Amino acid sequence: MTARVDSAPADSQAEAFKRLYPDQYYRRFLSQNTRPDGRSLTQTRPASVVLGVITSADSSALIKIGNTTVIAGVKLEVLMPKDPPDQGCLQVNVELTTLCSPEMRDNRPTEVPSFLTQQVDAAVRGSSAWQPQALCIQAGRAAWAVYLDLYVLCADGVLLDACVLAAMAALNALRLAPVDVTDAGNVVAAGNDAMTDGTSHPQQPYALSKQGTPLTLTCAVIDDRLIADPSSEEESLAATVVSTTVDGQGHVMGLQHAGGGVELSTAHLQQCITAAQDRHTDLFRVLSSAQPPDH
Amino acid sequence: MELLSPEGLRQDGRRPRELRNLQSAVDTLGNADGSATFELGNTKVMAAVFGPRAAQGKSSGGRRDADIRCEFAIAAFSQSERKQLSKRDRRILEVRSMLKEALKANVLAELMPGTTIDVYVQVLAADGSIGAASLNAAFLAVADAGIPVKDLMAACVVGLVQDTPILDLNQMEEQMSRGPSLMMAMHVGLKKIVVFQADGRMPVEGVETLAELAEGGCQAVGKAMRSVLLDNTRKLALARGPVRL
Repeated sequence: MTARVDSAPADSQAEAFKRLYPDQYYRRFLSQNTRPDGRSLTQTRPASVVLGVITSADSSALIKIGNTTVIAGVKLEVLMPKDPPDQGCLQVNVELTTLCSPEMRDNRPTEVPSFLTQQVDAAVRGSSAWQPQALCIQAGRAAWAVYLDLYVLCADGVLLDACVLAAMAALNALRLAPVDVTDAGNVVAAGNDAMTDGTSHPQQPYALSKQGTPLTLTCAVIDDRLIADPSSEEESLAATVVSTTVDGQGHVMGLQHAGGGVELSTAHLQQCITAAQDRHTDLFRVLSSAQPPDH
Repeated sequence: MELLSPEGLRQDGRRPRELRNLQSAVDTLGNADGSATFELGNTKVMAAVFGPRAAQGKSSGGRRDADIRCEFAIAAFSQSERKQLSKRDRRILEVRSMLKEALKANVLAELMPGTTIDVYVQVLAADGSIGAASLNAAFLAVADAGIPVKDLMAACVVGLVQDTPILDLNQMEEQMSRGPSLMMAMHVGLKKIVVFQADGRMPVEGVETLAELAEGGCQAVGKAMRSVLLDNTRKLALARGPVRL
């Protein structure tokens, strides 16, 4: 961005054409079955996951899909479980930072963060890995509350994909310390000899279950064709976008088609699901190979 | 609890005039015209600059200089206890106005009339000295955006603990210390002070001691920032092909 390496007049003409007629500019690429960034229509951008980037959080992940960057941090607290008494709780919050796009300050979208929050929350709770009972320390007295905060640092398309990936990366990296509740109601590190309640807690920090990790692929529909993993430019040109969340175990966990004045055929939907399953394999590999710095 | 041990070491093992591990990088975000991360120990800040671009907003049309706008935010997980600070929180507004005033002094705004420069700073992890770290990140992002500035600007925090001046306070030292503290930003080449925020009661002679230590700190931070910017410039120069001199 800072230094434009290319300065040939042909490039500036292309740049001018792109600015004046973004649709036509894009459709010329599309007619050649390619995209301005050199990808084929179904090709996704590389993803990366780095764990443990925030030392003040109980677990954290910085993820990138192309330029799109999301940071996720988990904070744990011990709360008195209310209803039901043997379950911990989860609170997800997604925020778009002002850093994430040039337009963010003057017209900050209010509904996008709520939509992302709701979708990420649904993806986490819907997965077979999510067992709120596993967060219980002692029924009726103490349970873990998991606060999952996501910040979009750079928005270049597929925000939902990036948020779900970041959320899963941070939750997978989370380790719960073994703790017990004393008779006085204080929460102490487990392994204390004074404990006599007979419950058996694992003595090592333990992870939450990782089965059925939900991951999302967003596709844009331009001229009745599906464009996988669109950039923000492509999303703005698209008639609609479809976000498909699958769990890698043969389940679809969510399929969002926001309308946008375009009807989709069932063939399209099937194509979206197949593409999402392929993308799940990719992203899951990236997710599993990410190692926290200390381990 | 004593912040300085009898041997004169701090809780984290540092000597009184020692900086924490400093790491910074520019061009870290794809969308922005300039971006940077700045880390000081566990404190981690990210900054992005958009602009200079044609004036945004109502009042900026027809200005004779660039309008510099700042936003500042702190992530909920950045501190030891989860906390969501609103945009209108006093602490947020205080840092935001400091950033804006400091950048006004630093950027050659009169060279870019009728434009807006947006500088956004996000604290990701807070372990003390966040104002100074934010200003350093903001400056690096401004430099990365290729915006003309007066000089390299660097900031640091110093404080007085048990009558000993200490450099680069962490969160615990900021909270536990009952002594005075000083956040200073300076143009390190011109040796001119841009921001000077001293809090707490101190003897008149103490001001000079602290300012001297802060100047040393700013020079050290500035040196590290300069080398990051030079490395980046070298990388960009080579990307254009072989450099002919």
